[in-house]
Amino acid sequence: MLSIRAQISAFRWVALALTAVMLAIAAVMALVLGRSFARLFEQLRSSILRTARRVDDLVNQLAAVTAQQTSAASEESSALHETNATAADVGEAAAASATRAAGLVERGTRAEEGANAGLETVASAVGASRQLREQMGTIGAAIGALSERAATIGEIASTVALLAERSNLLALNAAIEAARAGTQGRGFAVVAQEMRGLADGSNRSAGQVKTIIGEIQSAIARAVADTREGERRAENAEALANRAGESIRKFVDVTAEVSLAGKEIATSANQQSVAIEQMVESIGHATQAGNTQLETTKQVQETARQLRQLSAEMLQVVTGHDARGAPAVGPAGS
Amino acid sequence: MSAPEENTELLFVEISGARFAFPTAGVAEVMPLVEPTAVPGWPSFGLGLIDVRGALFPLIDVSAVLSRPTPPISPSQFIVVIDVGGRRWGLLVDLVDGVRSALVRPFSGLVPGQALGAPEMSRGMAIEPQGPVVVLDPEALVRGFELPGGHAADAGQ
Repeated sequence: MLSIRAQISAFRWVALALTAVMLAIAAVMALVLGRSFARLFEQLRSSILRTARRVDDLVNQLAAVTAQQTSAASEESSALHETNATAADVGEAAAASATRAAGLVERGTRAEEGANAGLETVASAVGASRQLREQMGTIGAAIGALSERAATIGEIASTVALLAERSNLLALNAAIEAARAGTQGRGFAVVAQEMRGLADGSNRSAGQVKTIIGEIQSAIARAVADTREGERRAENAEALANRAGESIRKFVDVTAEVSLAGKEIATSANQQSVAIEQMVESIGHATQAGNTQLETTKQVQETARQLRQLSAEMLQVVTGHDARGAPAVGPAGS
Repeated sequence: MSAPEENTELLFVEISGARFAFPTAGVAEVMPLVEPTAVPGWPSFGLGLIDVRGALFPLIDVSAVLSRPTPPISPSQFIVVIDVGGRRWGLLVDLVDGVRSALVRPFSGLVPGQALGAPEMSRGMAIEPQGPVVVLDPEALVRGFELPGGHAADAGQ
């Protein structure tokens, strides 16, 4: 673009020089050589005119081209501005995506921590279940021993009851004998009666013991049932805890995968962000360059306009009227 | 032998849910149930032979003799061993209440709540605070019972 300016400047100077030379020649011719030289001058003038016209044409073309260039440059500039805006939007979106991905990674890390805590809880639950089952086993053994003792006591009570019954009968028979003995047997009858009293008492006690033993055995049966239920529940709890542990481990695996994916997304989002930044920068440069170009093109346009004016004035001078055929107004300007 | 109105020593028992009494004079002893050995050809109230200290004698179902309901034998029952005419017999009873002295009056037929199918088995009625109790005649109970060998029980006095 600078070379064109130089060229156009040179052109201006050439045009001016030509005009000066022409004037000088015209003056000299008019003064020294008369009409024959005027004819020669006339030939010279027409070729200069032709050249001036050609210059005018060329300058017009140049003006047209520079006008096109200016409009194209300004279009390019506005397009670049739009692109810049879009690039900025994309850059924002990429940044947002990167932020979200980072958030995802953080949440993944927190979830992993939570899962680890969960696994610890599961382990302690399983441990507690095992302890409980052991305790239940111990209780069960103790209940078994208790049950045996109760059964033994029950047997003894039965024996006592049997003995009491026999004593009762014995006393009865003694009473019968005493009755048969009549008056002599009266004393014996009393003894027999006492014996019966004792036997009845033993019987009642034995009966009470049996009742209590019965109650104890019912309580023992209930305790055994409860212990078995407790064992079963502890087993279930252990199984549940194990299943929970399994689920948590699976969850941890999935979370790790998600975390990894999040990190990858974050990395590529960052890369995207960087690339967009670079793109925005280069668009900025292009816009700047475009602006500069626009500036330069506008200057060229201005110079072309000036050149046209100059050539028009030159034509005026040479022909005595301007390019459209109107009579000349005055001496050519610079 | 019907007893005059005087206090008699009686053995009170329970047979088929009803209270009865035996005069102790005819009673040898009271014992828990011994499983009888059934003898073919005996009447239904003859439950079989029992072995008591080496001696064998028949066990009679008193409730059958009295035409009362006869539930199956249970180990909680007792045997009242009676002595009739030198022979021993076992009478099956449900419970043995005790030996007491009570006033005995002549039997007057139906005792409230207690139908006696064979009134000739009764010696009278014992007057007890809870109500009258039929006093049974042991001899009458075993009368006419044919033992193998053809010897019937003595009719008593």
